[in-house]
Amino acid sequence: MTEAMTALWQRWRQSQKQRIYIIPSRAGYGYVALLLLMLLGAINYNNSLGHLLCFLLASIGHVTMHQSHTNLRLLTLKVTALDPVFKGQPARFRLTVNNHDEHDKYQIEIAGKKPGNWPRWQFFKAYEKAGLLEHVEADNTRSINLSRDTHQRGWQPIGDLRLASLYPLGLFYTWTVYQQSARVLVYPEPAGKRPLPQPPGSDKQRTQREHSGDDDFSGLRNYREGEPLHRVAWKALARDEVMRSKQFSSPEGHQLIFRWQDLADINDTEARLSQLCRWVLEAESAGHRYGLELPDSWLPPSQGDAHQHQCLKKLALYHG
Amino acid sequence: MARPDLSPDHHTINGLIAALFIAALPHFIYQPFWVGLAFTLMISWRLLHNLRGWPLPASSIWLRVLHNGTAALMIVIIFSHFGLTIGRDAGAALLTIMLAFKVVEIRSIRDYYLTCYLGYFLVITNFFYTQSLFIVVLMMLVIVLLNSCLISVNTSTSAQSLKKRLNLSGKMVLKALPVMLFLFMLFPRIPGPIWGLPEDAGGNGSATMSEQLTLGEIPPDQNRGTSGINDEIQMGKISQLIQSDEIAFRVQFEDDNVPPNKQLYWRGPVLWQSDGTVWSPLQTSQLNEQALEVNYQSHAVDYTITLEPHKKRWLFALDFPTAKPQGLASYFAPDGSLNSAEKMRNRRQYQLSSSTNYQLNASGDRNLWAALQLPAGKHPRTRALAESWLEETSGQDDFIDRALAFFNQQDFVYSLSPPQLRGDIVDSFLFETREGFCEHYAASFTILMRAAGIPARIVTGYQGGDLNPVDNVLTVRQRDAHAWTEVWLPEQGWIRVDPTAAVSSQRLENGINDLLPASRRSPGMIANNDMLVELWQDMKNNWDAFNTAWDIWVVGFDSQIQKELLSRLGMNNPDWRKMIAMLTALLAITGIIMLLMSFYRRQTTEPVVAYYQRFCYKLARVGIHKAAHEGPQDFARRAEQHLPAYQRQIQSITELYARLRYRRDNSALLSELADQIKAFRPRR
Repeated sequence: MTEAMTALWQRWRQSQKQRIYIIPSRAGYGYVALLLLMLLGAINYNNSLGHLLCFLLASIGHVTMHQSHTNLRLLTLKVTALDPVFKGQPARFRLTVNNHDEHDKYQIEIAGKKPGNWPRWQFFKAYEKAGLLEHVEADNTRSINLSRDTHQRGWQPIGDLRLASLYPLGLFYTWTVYQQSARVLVYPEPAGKRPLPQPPGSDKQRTQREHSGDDDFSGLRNYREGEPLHRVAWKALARDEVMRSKQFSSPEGHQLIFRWQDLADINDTEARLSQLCRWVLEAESAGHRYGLELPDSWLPPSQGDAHQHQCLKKLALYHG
Repeated sequence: MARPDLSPDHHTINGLIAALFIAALPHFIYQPFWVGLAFTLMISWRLLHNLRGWPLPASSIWLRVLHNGTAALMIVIIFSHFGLTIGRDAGAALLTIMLAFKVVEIRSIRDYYLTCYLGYFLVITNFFYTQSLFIVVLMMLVIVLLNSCLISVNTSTSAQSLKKRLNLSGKMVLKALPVMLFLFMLFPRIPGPIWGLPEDAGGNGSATMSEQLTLGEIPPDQNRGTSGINDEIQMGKISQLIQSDEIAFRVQFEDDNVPPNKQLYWRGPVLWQSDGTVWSPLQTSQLNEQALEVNYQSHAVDYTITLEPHKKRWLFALDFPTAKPQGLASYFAPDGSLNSAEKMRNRRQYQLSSSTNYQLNASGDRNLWAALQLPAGKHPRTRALAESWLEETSGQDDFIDRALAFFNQQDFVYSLSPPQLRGDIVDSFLFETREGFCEHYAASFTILMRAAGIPARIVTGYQGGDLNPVDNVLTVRQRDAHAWTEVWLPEQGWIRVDPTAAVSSQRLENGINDLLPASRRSPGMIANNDMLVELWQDMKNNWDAFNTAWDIWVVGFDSQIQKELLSRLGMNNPDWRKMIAMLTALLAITGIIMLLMSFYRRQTTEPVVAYYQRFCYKLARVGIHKAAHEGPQDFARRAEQHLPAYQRQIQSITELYARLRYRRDNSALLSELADQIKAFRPRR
């Protein structure tokens, strides 16, 4: 008995860690109006069962309040950031909700905080819906992908998450806010129309010839966001519906260095970064070795996914 | 103009239609047929849309015109049928019909909520008609259905099946019962009405006595099929009343001290004047005012009467009450009938004390003139008979005996279905048919008395009643309606003479019950088997006792009974402040208990979980406790480190558990899990 009470106490303590807010919804206020009208009718007609019905519905409202609260308690959240994205693409997160309660949870709306400075108490305007969990069974977990719009490069945190629910009768709006630290890296948006810069020490003609003819087709690999569309292997796509891009290898010695100073004529930092970003993507898909030189750091020429990520990360986090 | 259709899915609306149909069903009986017809047509429209894809009003202008036009037409019909004041009937009809029209045009969640809420309101209108247990059970079902409708728009059908939603809704209603009970008992009752009540308010058209007695042909019943003692007591009317098993009032005697049946005369309206066919009372203004002079000659019995509403002022009392009732504004009329200050629209309780042996106005009565009037030119043969007796007899006592002997010795028959009387009603009864019910005997006896110069009047009311051995409540039903005569004799005052007793002593010794055909007393099928009849009677007594308690403590619960109950439960002088304080305290305690209960983990949620908990318990005994945040796999890994010898068993159990729990695998594995956990006996 004492054991059960202790367990009960501990579960209660655990539930207190997360503050849950609850207010009547519009339908809830309507319900109250209905009850008052009913009570008036019951009093006027001296109708005892009318009173009884009115009290039953009031009591059901009370039970609903408890159930609404129960529907959001004893949940823990784990958010993992998914792959980096380019600016303008949605940043994607994996949200795993763990239900430590004995009760199933239903119809939980997940909302993310909009960018900007919102007062702490602003629970409605500051959030926008990001997903819906229809059912989280007792002692079980459910996962859902969330996406947030990206408006600037750099680290994009998921921000505060609001879990809200109208369950079960829609009379009460319950919500709770979780602070989350997960973040997704947002690369600059690839843009700019400049051709790849010349490899150092080569004359213009040779480069042009090589660009036009000598590149050898070296195979296919899965298409990645940002690669030019003309490289997509459309035939292969038609065959198995997997988007791939054609890869070309070029002879040794094509080392490209993308320099910040080379774009001195572009005044806008973001436009400069976008051009560098495009070059990195083009060079990588063309199979060139490339390096990056920024005012505060540089990366020696190399090749491959990891290198590309390093370069893009430098661009994403650049502080001019 | 055309809003987008954001209505919930068809199943959700079909569920709502089912709930509303059940809620409206009783109204099909109370209301004119076209209410039910319109309701059924409209919900069928929506159903056909949901099931067969028929178009809704929103889809074409003509359908919209049809829909709105019919709605307008229905409103016109309602007003022309019920008049312009929206009373109970008109209100209920309007609500029922408009609800069905609303169902057709549900186009959003908001519409859906509105319809549901109106559905709750439809439920309460049912209680304005009848407050029987059956209707309560039916309406509880409606509440569960309506709640599950609200659940269904707040969850997805894939996550929560219909069965689960109904289950949840039912559980919510059960959980709501304690608080409902507290509110019912402690919410301070305000005696209504707050605004004026229309005539049709309250009561369920219960049978009731009339104020006049009409001998002979029964005029067509104008009271919409409600039998009962009426504004006029009509000859033949009482015998109509005995067809009704409806309850007139209930009596609880103090200390279960119930007088014998033949003393149970429940006094009602007194009738003075007759036109030869109809007997009616005199207005209080027509009677000379006088204080009643009563000389009580036996011990008084105390009792409480719970009177069903009859929409009249009179109160019934055991002849003859020693004082006005407690807790009810009332007065005695000069003729000794007890009247309430206002019409009895609700079931009311009042306490009385009566002495069955009494003398009333023995030293004189100022209204004897009215007790001697005979209708001019009527009943010539009866008067002649009285005159012939006057010559034969000496004194008034002798005359009365002569009259009673006449009824007793001639071939008079007490009949519940006397033949129709024609011509001079009293004459044809006394000299031709000789078959009658109490009112025939009372009326003709009174005529005989008056013809002989003995002041006489008819008293109507009830005689007898059924005593339920289960709760010792005496139930007086409409079928116990009775009429008798009072004659005034010098120095003796008004004396009750019941000519019916001279004809049928059985009626008074055992009550009306024995005279009723067996089929009225028990179902025909078992009427021949004494044991079954007895068993049936037993069940019926229990059921009646339950109904009595229901009627008094639930249906009749008002501010008066509330105060009484609370003082019985130990609250001193309950007033609304104490009630609110008590209520708040109880609600707070219930809230906390509900919260704690919701944290309580049942051990037998799912067998898989229960087995796993057993496994965890076994590990806990050897000091390995599973943390709340720890998953089964992590826990298993930790346990294996502590108990390397049991690694294989722990792994196997955890794997089985995971398969059963998370992948919802083959449940045949369950018994294997059970076996393995049973065999698992970790030791350090």
